[in-house]
Amino acid sequence: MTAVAERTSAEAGPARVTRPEPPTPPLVNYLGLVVVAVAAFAFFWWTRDDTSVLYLPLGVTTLWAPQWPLIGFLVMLAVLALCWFTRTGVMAAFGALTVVIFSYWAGSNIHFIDRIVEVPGRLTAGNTREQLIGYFNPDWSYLLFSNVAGTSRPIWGEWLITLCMAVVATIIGCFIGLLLAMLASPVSSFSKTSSQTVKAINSVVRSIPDVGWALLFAAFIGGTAYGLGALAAVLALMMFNIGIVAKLLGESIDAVDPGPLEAADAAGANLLQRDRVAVLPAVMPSFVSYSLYVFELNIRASAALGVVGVAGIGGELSRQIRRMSQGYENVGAILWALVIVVLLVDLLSMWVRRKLL
Amino acid sequence: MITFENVDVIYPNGFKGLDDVNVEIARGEFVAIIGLSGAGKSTLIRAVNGLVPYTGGTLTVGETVVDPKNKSKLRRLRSKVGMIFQQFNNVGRISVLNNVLIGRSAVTPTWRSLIGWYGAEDKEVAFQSLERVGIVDKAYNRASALSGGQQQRVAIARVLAQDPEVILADEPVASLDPPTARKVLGDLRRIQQDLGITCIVNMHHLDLARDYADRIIGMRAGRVVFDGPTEEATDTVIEDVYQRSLTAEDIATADFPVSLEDLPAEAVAGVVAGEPDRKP
Amino acid sequence: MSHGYKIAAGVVAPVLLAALGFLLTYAPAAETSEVFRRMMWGLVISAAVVAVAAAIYGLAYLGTSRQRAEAQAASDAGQSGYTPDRLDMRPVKPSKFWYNMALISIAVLFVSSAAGTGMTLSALLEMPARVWDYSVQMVGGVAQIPDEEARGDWANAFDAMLESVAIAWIGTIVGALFSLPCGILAARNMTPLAIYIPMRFILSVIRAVPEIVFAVAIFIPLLGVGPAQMGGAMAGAFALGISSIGTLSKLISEAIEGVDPGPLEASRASGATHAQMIRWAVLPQVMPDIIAIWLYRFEVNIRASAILGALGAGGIGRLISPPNGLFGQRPYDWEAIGITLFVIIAITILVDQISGFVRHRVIHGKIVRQKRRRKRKNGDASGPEGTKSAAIPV
Repeated sequence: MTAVAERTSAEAGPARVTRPEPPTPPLVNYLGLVVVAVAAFAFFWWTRDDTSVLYLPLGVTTLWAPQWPLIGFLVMLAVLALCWFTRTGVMAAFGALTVVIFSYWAGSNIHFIDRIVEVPGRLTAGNTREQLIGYFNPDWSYLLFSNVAGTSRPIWGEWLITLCMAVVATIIGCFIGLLLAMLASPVSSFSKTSSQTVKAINSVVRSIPDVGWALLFAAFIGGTAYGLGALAAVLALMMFNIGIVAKLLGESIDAVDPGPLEAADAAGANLLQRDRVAVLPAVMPSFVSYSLYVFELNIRASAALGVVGVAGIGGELSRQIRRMSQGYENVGAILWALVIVVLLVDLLSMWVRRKLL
Repeated sequence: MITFENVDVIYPNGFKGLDDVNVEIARGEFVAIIGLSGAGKSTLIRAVNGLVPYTGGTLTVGETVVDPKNKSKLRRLRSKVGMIFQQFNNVGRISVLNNVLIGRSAVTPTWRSLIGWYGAEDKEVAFQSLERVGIVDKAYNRASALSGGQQQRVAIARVLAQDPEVILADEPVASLDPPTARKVLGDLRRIQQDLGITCIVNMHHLDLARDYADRIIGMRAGRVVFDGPTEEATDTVIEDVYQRSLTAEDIATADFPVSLEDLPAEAVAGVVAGEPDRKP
Repeated sequence: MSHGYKIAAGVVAPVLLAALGFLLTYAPAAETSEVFRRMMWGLVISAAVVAVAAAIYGLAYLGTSRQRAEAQAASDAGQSGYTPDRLDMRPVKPSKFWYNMALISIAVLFVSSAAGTGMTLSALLEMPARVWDYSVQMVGGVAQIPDEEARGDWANAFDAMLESVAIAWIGTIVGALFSLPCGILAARNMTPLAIYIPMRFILSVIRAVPEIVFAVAIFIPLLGVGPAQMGGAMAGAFALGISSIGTLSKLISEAIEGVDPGPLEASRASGATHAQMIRWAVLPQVMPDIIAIWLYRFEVNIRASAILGALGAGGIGRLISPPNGLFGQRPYDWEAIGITLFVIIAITILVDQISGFVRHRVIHGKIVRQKRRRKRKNGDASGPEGTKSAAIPV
């Protein structure tokens, strides 16, 4: 490419127009970014809990700096230098720098390096080996023929109850989610205020994780967290579904073609009629597909929710995990079966989607 | 029937859509509105049923004064004023019959339309409207499966199902090919004469306006600059409305998003020079 | 199928279903499992209701048979007010039989599942009073001037939530690093079929495995369990990361499949290698979308990290879930729970807002917004665009 460019410019001869310089991002802003990097370095130095140090002998004196913050700082400077030489815009360089700083912070927060270097040692140690071997040699007879410890309930019944909870929560949750989505979108809502309010409520509902909802409802319906009915799980999954459906479907409603809405208005329809005849048919396919998606999520989540003590296979899973070395094969069986059930539900919902849409 | 008295429309961004418009339209008239894009044709039409609230003067439809603030009164008014759009604005995923039944919204109780249970009378009205526009055989097809001309007929049927006194049509044939456009306009004209409905139509096509309308209103920059029977709308008058010579090139450039005055002279010359090949 | 036959089917099928359900309540499976027995009873009852409703409808239909016959005869004789010609034949209303059947089966499924869960709905009656009582305590906990204990609660909640954010971030970074190559390899317009098909298969397997399986079966044994120092957080991060790869790669490959093929052809025509084409023709088009997808996954991961925490993989989930968390203690410390929930909500919404802003900025850029602002300042942009945007009544 460059060779071609040089040749043509040489041929162009005397009538030469001054070429534009490639745009350079302002140096001052880059210096600002370096200051940010230095501040981050200072912060990491301040908050480090690892005491290893790097020495830098200079003959006259020996400089030292904490090892990991210094490496992080050098990476930051390298990223900035790379951005400078590729003439990246300041915002993009800032973004790259933020990613590096944030990753360093997150990594040190979860002790990334310490844990990674331990892995080879753990692989050969007894307990981890035993666990992994147990998980990959599942005990299928336990899954099919055993009872839940201390009761006469068979394990396959726990699977059934998990599916039941997912079905009930999906149907109720998606229906309420549909109503909330209608209220949340300014296209179909009564007024701007009502849509803003519903959106705010919805983002609060969505920001509490499903475990949080399960524990809250367990307390609200007066049970203890263990051995409680399925009600708390159904309510928790319901809230979880409402949040997802209201968000996704609200966005679909925002994007609805405004033409039919205007036509319904011009025909003298009131708000509810307009939503029913012009909005609902337009978002029906996305509603069906979100409902199926949410059903899949519910199967996964209801298995996990049992961990905090609600009914279903999750409860059995956490009991088996707590049995430690006696339960590895059983845990393996439950997990493998979970993968199979999720795959089956996936296939089912793919089939329904193809049939309907 | 429809009276504009010194009507102004000023948009929230300060743009003047209508500027002191005084027009009186009698019952049963078929009026075509012509003008360049952005001259205020759509605004004029949408002011009648309150889709665009007017900001000054008085606008009367029949005996009622249009009041953009009063929602329920506006709805009552809209039930008597049907509207047809350039993009048909049918709901694509429901059947043609249900699209037509949208026109019955104003006379159907809300709960009935919520569960989609329309009465036998409403259905009869819808079927008769479909019969009038000649596509009753498609009643249970999806609206999105129809061709452009058929979709516009569905839209006309929806409006007829309202049992309207006035039909507003915002460039009803701009998205259709010329023969279909003539057919659809012919249908509209026939129905309008049969039922004695007042009809206001926005048009880009001069020849269509001359062939079908009783009366032509010319607009420029939000003002009415010509108002008279079709016979009076000679080429010179129209040239005055458009403010330029009425050669084929200019009619074509009337669809141009920017007005030609804004462009440098040589660019305009280039556009105009390139145009004659496209002339029909 | 004529209408009468459909009604008959609508009566007979639910009756058979109810009978089947009733028989199954005596099956050995129902002897052992309470859940199964309840489900079967739910099935029996709801199917019976459907059968009775269909039977009532059928009787009403039989009752009007004479009128229908007369109406049919009249219309055959052409006595209606409107004489149809060839074009105006009204079509017969298409059958919605299968649609209605699908709705009814969903209702039956719902009833029997609800029966199967064995929910004690009476607990719902006492709920409002409890919710009010606890909410007052929670709000009180958040609103009080923090004493020594409350300050500890705030600090714990912040630490745990920031740990969750860190887990989600590392998970996203792991997912992002792997998902870009995987996404390119799983895009039909970038890859030969021999790589595309196995890649798709691997990705759908990863997507099918829930992240708790990755966490419990692989990463907790490998990396440890419990608080961050013990490696629980790392296990959570890697579980999230691996399961992110599946979704991220799918979305990225879809974005790549949707690129404008023009530049690809142009670069291929000028002799670019495959890698050069990806670098200069594909990535510039899809990079904003990909960054947006990554950020979206980060938001999802923050929520997902909570449930992993409940299993012993660090973060906010560990702080709230039993046996050692806030909900594991009796009596409940509602003030601490209120503070924790407040921190969860505040940080989640904050992160959502920031990442939403960045996503918008990355996709739409600064220029678009400036242009729009300039247009608004000038008032009327002449021409139809200006009028159209203003035509929506404010």
